[in-house]
Amino acid sequence: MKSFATALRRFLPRLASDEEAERARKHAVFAQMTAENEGKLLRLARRLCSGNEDKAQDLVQDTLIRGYQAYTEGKFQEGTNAGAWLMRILTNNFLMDYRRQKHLADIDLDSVVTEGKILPESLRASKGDRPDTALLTRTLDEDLERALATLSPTMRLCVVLVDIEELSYIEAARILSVPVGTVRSRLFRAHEKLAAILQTNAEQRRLP
Amino acid sequence: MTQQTPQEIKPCFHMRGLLDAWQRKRLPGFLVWYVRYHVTHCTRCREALHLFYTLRERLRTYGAAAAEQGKDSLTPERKSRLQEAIEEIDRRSP
Repeated sequence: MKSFATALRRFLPRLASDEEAERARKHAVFAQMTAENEGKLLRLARRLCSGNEDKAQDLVQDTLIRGYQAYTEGKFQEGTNAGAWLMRILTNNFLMDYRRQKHLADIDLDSVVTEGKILPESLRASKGDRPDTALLTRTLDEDLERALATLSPTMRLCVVLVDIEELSYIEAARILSVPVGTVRSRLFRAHEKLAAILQTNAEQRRLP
Repeated sequence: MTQQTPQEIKPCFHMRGLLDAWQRKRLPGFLVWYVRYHVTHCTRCREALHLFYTLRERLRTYGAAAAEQGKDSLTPERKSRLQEAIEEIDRRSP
C-alpha cells in the first residue's frame, strides 16, 4: 500500500505536467489553425454580413471560440481540412443567427455603399454596350455587394463559397450540410437573380 | 428551341444544369457536343450562357480583389476577448 502511495505521488505531478503539455500543444495547433484561416473567415463573414465590419468581426470571434470549444472536445480530426471545418462552424453560426432574427432588416446596406457618390464617367456603361458586357466590365463592387445583399442567406452562402471563395460544389455542400444538387440549384437561382439586378443597374447607368 | 425574348435571360429548362456543368468542364463527351449544338441554335441559351459566364467571372475577380486587400485579422480587442474565452474554456474543461 505504501509503495502504491509513493508511486501515485510520483505519478501525479507527471500527469499534471502531461496535461499541461497536451493543453499547450492544443493551444499551439489551434493558434496555427487560426493564423492560417483568420483572413479567409473574415472575408467570408464580410460577404455574409454585407460588409458590416463589426458583425463580421463578431461572427469570426464567435466562430473561433466555438471552434476552440469543439476542438478541445475532440470534434476536429487533426490532419483534415481545418479551413473547411471552421467555415462550416461560421456558416452554421450565421444561419443560426439569421433564423433567430428571422429577417435581415438590421443589415446595414449603407455601410457598403457610398451615399450620393457620383460615378466617374469611366464607370458608366455607354449606350452601345450590351447589358451583359457592361455587367462584366463596369459593375461596381458596391453594386455587386448590394445585389448580393438581396439574396436569401442560403443563396448568398452558395455564391460566396463557390463563386467568390472558389470552393468546389462538393466542398460547399459539405460546409453547408446539404446535397450537391441543392448547392447547384441554389446557385442557379442566385445567378438568375443577380444577373437580373445587375442588368437593370447597368441599363439605368447608361449614358443618355 | 426557343427564340430570344429581349427581357428574358432564362435558358431552356432542360439546359439549366447542362450549361452550368459545361462552364465548369464537368460534362462527358456526348453532352458537350449536345450543349454546343443547342447553344449554337438557341439564342436564349446562348445569351444566358454568356451572361452567367460573365457574372461568374465578375464574382471571381471581385473575390480575388478582396483577397488582396489587407486588414484580414481580428481587431486587438476581439483578439484579447478570444484569448479570455479560450482561457475560460481551459479552466472549465476537466
